[in-house]
Amino acid sequence: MTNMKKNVGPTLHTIGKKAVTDYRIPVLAVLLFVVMALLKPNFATSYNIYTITDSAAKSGIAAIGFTFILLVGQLDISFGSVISLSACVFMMMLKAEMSFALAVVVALVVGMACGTLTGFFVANFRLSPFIVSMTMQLVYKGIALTITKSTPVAMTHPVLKAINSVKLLDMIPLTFLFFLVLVFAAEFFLRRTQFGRNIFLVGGNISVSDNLGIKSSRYVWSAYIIQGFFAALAGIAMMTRTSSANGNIGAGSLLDVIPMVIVGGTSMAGGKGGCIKTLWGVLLLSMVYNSMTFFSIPAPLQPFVKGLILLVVIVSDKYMERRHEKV
Amino acid sequence: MNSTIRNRLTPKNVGDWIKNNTNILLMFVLIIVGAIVSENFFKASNLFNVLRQITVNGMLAVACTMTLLVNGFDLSIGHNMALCAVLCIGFEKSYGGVAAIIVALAAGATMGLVNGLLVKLTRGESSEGFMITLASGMMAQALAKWYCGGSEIIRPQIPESQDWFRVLGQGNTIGGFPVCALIWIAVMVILQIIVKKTTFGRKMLLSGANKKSAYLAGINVGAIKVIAYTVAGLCCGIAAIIYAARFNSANDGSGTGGDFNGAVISIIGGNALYGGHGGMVQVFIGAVTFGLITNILQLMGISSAVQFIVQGAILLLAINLDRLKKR
Repeated sequence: MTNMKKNVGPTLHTIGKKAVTDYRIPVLAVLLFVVMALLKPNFATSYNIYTITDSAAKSGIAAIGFTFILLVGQLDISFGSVISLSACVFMMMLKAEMSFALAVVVALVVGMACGTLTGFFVANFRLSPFIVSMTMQLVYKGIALTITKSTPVAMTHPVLKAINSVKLLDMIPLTFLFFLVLVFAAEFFLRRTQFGRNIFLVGGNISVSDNLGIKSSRYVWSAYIIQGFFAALAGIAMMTRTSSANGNIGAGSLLDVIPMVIVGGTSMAGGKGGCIKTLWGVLLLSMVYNSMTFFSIPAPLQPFVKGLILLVVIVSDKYMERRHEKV
Repeated sequence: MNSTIRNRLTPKNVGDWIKNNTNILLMFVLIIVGAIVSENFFKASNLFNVLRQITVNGMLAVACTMTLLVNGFDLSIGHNMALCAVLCIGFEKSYGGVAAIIVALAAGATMGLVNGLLVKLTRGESSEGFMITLASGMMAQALAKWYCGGSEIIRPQIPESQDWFRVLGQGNTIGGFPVCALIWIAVMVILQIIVKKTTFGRKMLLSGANKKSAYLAGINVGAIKVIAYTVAGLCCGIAAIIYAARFNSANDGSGTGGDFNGAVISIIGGNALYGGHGGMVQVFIGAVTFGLITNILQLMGISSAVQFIVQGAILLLAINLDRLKKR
């Protein structure tokens, strides 16, 4: 009898439990959307949804890359500068009247080169990732400021304009659809290929994976290259709307992106998480950031709230992981 | 017997000495380079100028070292200093110098205390400290921007004879030795005595080197971390007072890069990245080295964007040397 009871299927209780444990971020995102739509009539308009999805796409593409870094158990705060650098390179190429495709390829190569350099020091010398990425952040920013001579590079390109003008259902930009495709491709890569599974293993326990004969440093290194690739893509995606690049354009995205990934459920300890989780984190926090503008918080204090969210997310993540340890 | 063998001048001993004292060698190499590059280099005015330039960053390096010694990391020191500096000038304008100094010190110490409590809560080491202070630093910058309204806060002009606050940053003692450098050196001497000669200092170094054995030896590791972070915040407050008195103005961007400079000075001076050994002597060596590098780059007329790249390369070199020492 008791065995049969287990096979009854989903009851209200199990659905509720699952909603709290596994799906709390999607549930929260939907709830926030509904509550905001009821409270503020201007929230669920097509223009505001366009604003949300547009910013979600830009931060989200960078967040996919950061998910890879966290999954492999490392840290990287240089991606903000990589976004700036690749956006600057991209706009400079367009200004020099190169073809659009060539400019995209060169920007991506620059991003991957940055990732290769950062990853080289982390993976091969096993230096602490945060010091290396802090240093490289400054180096890339220095390069971006040097090549642009510290002035913004602005230009309107017909292809960028065309990408910007496409809106699905009058509210979803093309970049957001592109972001969704990237999320599912990255998730497939992580779950269904051997390389992706090994990234989880290396992030979960690097010495075990070393003993299993996996070349851990190679996976760490490639995670940094993937991160550079996505950061460059994010830089290009940013250019579709702003059409003007400078050496500091990516500096703020650090504060946006890191909490998105951790809120989504990718652990800072490595080996746990995924890109679909990041997608929900991106959606939730993009809506939170957007909601702030509806509650007349003074503009300088908005980064304060973002920083507070980041702080709470990090501390609660680490506290839940370690609360039973003595020191 | 043993000691005589160790003291003999064999190639291996000389090699070991060089490996362990790369910081001092680097400083002397730079002094020689400076003497070659500029004939004014050894004049007292230039040397005092170097001292005056490095004092604020040197003070931040003292803060960074305090957290490094307990195997932590503080990335908020730059923005913490900016917050204290705008508060300091704002209060100096309306309530006078004493109130300004008290407010700046209190604000810095509070920031440090919050960082320390959060690090204690997460049982954190350097990577957690890094992430937590990344967030709290951005919050401090947002607060500073809110306080100063996004524009520069400037001290009103007062006749020099009545302006004792200004002396803290710009004044000279007998022989032209700058007052601010004197404050910096005094703080370093006090902290060096505390770290090396008191029970508390020994406990600090032990909990930085190995927190598990420190815990088993009955040391309250968490409390020591909180105190170390608070002292670091206090040092940011002192740095902010010197900054305010020296430049007579501050804004929310005053501390940008200060965290990096502090970390560079602390690490090229020879403090261990992962706690346990180091001290204020190393900070002094690092600060002089850093000041000389900046001075030489300026004398050679290199732009500030390129200086970012050079400083980044130096920090990478320094952390590689740090690793080499441990091998």
